[in-house]
Amino acid sequence: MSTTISVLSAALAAAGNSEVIWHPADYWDLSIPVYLFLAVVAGGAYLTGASACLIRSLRGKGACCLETEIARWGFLVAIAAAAGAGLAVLSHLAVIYRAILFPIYLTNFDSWITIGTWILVLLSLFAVVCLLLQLFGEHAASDEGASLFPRTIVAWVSPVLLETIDGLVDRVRPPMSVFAGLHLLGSLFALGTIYTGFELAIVDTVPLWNDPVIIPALFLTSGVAAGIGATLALTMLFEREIGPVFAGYALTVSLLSAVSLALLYYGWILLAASDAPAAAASYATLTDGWYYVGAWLVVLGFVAPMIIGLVIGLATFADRLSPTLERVGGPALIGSFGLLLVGGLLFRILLLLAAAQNPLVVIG
Amino acid sequence: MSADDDHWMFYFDPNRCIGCHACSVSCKQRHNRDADADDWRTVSHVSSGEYPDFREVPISMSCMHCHDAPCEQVCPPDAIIKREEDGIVTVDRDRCIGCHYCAWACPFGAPTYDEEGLMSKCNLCLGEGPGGGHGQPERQTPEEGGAVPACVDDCVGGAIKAGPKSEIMQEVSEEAAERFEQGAYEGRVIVEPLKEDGEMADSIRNGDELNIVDMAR
Amino acid sequence: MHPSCNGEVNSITECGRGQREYRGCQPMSSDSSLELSRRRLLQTGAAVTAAAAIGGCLSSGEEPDPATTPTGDEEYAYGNCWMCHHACGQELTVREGTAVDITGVDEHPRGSAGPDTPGTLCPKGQAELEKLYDPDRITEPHIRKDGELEAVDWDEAIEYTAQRLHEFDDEHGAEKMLDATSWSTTNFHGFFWGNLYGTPERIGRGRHVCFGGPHLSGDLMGLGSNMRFVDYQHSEYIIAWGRNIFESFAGQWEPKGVLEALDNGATLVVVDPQHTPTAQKADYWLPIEPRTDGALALAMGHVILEEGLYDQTFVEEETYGFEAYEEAVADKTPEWAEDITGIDADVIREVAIGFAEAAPAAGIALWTGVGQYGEAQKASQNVFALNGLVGNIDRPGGFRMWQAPPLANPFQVRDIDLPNNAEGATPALRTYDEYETYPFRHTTGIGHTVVPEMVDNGHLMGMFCHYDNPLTDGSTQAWLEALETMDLVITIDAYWNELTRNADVVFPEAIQLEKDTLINYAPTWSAYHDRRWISGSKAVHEPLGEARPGFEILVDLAEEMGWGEFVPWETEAEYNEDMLANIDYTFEEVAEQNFVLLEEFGYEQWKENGFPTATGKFQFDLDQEEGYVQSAMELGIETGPQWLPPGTWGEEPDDEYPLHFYDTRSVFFSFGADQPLAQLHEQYARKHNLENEEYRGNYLVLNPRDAEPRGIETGDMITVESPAGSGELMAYVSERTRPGFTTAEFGFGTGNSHEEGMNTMLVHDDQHDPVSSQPDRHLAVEVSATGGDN
Repeated sequence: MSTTISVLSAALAAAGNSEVIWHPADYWDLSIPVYLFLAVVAGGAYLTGASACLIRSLRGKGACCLETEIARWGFLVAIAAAAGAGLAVLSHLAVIYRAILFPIYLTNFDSWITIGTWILVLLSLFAVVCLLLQLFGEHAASDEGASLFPRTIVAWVSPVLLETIDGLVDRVRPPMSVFAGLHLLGSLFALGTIYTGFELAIVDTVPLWNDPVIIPALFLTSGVAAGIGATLALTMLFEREIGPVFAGYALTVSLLSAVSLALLYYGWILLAASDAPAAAASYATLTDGWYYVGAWLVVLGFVAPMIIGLVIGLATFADRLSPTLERVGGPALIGSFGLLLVGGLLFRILLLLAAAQNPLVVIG
Repeated sequence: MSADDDHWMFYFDPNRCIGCHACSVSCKQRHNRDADADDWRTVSHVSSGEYPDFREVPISMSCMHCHDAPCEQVCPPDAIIKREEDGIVTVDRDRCIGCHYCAWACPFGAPTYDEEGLMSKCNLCLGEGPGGGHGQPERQTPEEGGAVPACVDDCVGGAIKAGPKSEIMQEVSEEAAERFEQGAYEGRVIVEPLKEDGEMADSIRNGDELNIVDMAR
Repeated sequence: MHPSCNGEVNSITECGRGQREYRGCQPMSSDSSLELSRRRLLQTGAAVTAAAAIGGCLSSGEEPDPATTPTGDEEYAYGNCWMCHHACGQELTVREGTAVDITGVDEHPRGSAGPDTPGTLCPKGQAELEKLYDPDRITEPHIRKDGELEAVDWDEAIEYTAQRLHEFDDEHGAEKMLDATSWSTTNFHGFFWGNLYGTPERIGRGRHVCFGGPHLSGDLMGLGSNMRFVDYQHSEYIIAWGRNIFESFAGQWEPKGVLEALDNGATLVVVDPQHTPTAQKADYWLPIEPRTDGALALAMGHVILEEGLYDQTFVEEETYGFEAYEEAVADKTPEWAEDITGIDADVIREVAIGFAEAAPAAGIALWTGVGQYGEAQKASQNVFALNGLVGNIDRPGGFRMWQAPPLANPFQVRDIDLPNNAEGATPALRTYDEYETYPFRHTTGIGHTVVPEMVDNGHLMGMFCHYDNPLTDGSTQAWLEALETMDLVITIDAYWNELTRNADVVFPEAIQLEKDTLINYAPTWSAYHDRRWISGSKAVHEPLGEARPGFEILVDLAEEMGWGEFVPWETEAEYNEDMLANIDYTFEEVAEQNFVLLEEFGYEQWKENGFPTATGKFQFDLDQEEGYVQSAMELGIETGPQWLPPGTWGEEPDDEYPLHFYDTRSVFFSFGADQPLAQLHEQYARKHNLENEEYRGNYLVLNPRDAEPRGIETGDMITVESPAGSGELMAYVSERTRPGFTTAEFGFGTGNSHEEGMNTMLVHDDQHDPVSSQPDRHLAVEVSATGGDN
């Protein structure tokens, strides 16, 4: 399709004329929102893992505890999400090897894609190191839990290999201070996944995206919430009892969802009030048909974990978790996190599909 | 902000554009591109109103070789180069990864992507074919022996001009020059004000009451 | 000279009617030759040394600039665009024997705005590059063997054709062969078929299928049959009357000239039921009720007379029949015309006064829009009368009478005693009683719509088509049957279509770029208002496959027919050389420069020469033109200007067929031969924003007010139906067209070389203008959704 037409049409569609058919600019396919989402989910999951380690040491607990499970699941999710993000973005590119050789090819550090590539790759490395440290070694060997399944796989491949890795990991296991530094640095990269928001926010031509505060903030809060939620959901599949640690994370997700919702609302108000033609075109798109349904699903994806996390978190801390609440609490939380994941992804998909370029039409 | 005096720019006069697409065809043939490939230079027809109050304006656009080249700024592998010597924005297809980020950044919708997925666009006929401008010596004017850009060469109405800014500015109307100095089109292209349909131009710029039935699929 | 060239615009000798004394030729004036662009100096300077290059027909450029010519050695060649046959200069870049780029020639009479202006090429002209290598072209001669067309070598094809022609002469008589040559680059066919083979049957384009009414009116009134052009550059007031100059032009000098006039502050008026690119730039767009041009013209005349704004001296001294005109317009008030035309009376008054006040620097450009409907002759007569009224004829900025170069008759140059074997033969139309119902037989020798009937009657049994496709010109279904009935159909063409597939002989012709071409088709109107000129070019390289220049095909055929003594030329270049006998340039010299300007001619040539009419004056009234008087008597119409309402002869929409249907020309196509080219049909689709559809045919443009009740949307496939037939094409719903008025691009579908889309003439029966014979392309149809998107 002719891109110019799409540019023009977007402008003209802004008039709100019912006869207008809006042509979305189609430079990116759906792999991009998947990438943009999973990168922050990886960040959120890493933060969950690192924070679990921190809580564990603050509470002076040993290796065999819920925090360790959460940490391992967190790093696992981080790696999986980062890998997913990487595959998604690579699938969209024309020359994949150049992207894989990014230290050589991606030389423009003014480009958020270059910056983001480094952030995502380094985050992945930190997650891998953290996971290895949690998954292998003496402590892990004596531990139990679903998150240890990679050990089973290694053992299945070769029991000797597992022993070797365990020994190796114990030998290189850093002291506590280095551990903290490792998590701190990793967490910085995890927060750095906010770059995905900047990747869109700096695009001047698309008013829907072009907000240097709301979009990055929303990408971070919604993605991190989803990352925490995904980690928690996995943990809870095997560890149903809701304790203060779960409650704390649930409250965090609730809070992040609430912030996301607030940002979303604020952004929506700004979009509706904008007199830029392309903004109006985006607004018109988002309030029509399936896009509108999708937009409400995004809202639901934030509202559900916000309320459920709040209720269960507060009830747990107030020690007023009724048996019923205890019974449904876990599934409800898992469900709400599922909605959060769906909503977070859908949010980015809608941002792409409703993107209308602000035209610079050479019309005299 | 505006281009350096010796940097090449495009000029478009919608009053002289007869909407014939000669520029698009000329560009395709000069650069040996398939008929069905996306055009480096497009002609769009924007209309409004109901018969007999119908109006239509043809618009010819391509890469404008912006002084601030937003595409260059976002290109991760530095495949897009805003050349210092003549201001032409070229593409090194041996670096392009095909991420399409430049298309979002471009205010004119100029980047196109071929079957290989690599970006190609107007190179002001500095070279020929996709990526043909990359690494070429400084652009020479036709007087110096350089090629006349294909679109300019075959513009039936003489609506498109290209050249170093200082030269182009001598050929434009006072009104166009004034508007350009005031920052029209962010200083990226020089455009003559539309005479007959000035109101329509305003309304298109402002996104006012318009009917683009013709654009409908 | 061919005895029956009536209506033929293709022949150089025809142009001589408005052309009087020839005062010798001068070389190009020094100032303009000094100001040649660098590009042209390059080519002409190096031409001689490079003559031995590929085929001896290329000139080489300077040392290539590494920044601009990445692949090294470059040569240049010229062409004269034959896509719409108006010969804009073409300059080709050739690398290693292959043309890789094409553009215009600076200062070219047809392809530029004149001195010191760049030459360009419209999309058609550029696409000739694609045609040069189009694998879909016919590249081998074919003859019909046992009912099937079969590729054969040239010797066999020529031998077979000559034998068939002899047999045809024996069986039917040569006079039953129709010469339907259209866009040959040579006028040789006229001598071949008329003088040598001996047939009086000749059908051309201008009078017969293009704009018969105005062609006849212009001819008889004194403007000449090329009555289309204004001296644009000097004009202060241009009326594009049913003309879309910015999209459908006879050389790019036209739109360029109008743009120049607009820059100089001229007023542009467009009279058109549809909003066009020309209307986009107009000061006044008069969205006229279709086919009411005659009423508008009479009302304008009424105002001009009423306001005393006419050129009294000119009318008194240079015109004939003014009384008839005064009488005709006496009661034709703007208010009267408003009811008929739908144009506000005040606007009519304003335009009439504006036109008359600007006169003589005011001109009317009129072509097919007021040329292709039933009442077009009379309508155009009413319009042309305005020229006489305001005295703008052959004055700066008004109607211009261009002069052709003094091309010679090559047979005379060689002292060849050419026989006229058609002597004494009259066209069947004027011979047999069957055709007494056709009043146009008094003004022309044939009519396009009557040919199938003549075939049925056995009066025409064979046809020679040279770049002509009658299947696109009207009565298509009847013509398809006539092709079957004819005993011998010989075609020279580049593409397969219903005509070539049904022919007995198909000769593949080289395209213009592959031929040594001297432009002898009306080398008159141009950006040079005061100069004669001639344009020519040598072949870029050998033709594709076995294709050959049409001239050589006819010469070989003549030799095989036993007329060798009359055709001493081996090549078209030699023949061209003889045509230039009266001009101080050789063909080689012309081709090296692509064009040369010849001697000047002034305005007001009628002062010396009078008008080429029966009275020697500009004629408002045609009562002195014998043939016309007889036609008029039979039809019961006036010989002077007269209002003939639509429906007098043409069709009016009714309940069953409620929509007007008319065909149009876009800038991408001319006749049927450009449509197969991908660059063109692709851009045509893009212009309609329909490039994402697979369909690459023409579109039916209809107003939303007509589309909505029928459930039609842009992109839907729809059926167009008339009592004569139906066709299918894609809808393009737009406010640009008048409610009730639908149009489609000409030259697509069945019968054309690009068979996708609809041949607009499939719904045409035999409607025509009875005065001129011009097929009436303005029909009444109904339109319905075919179902489903394509």
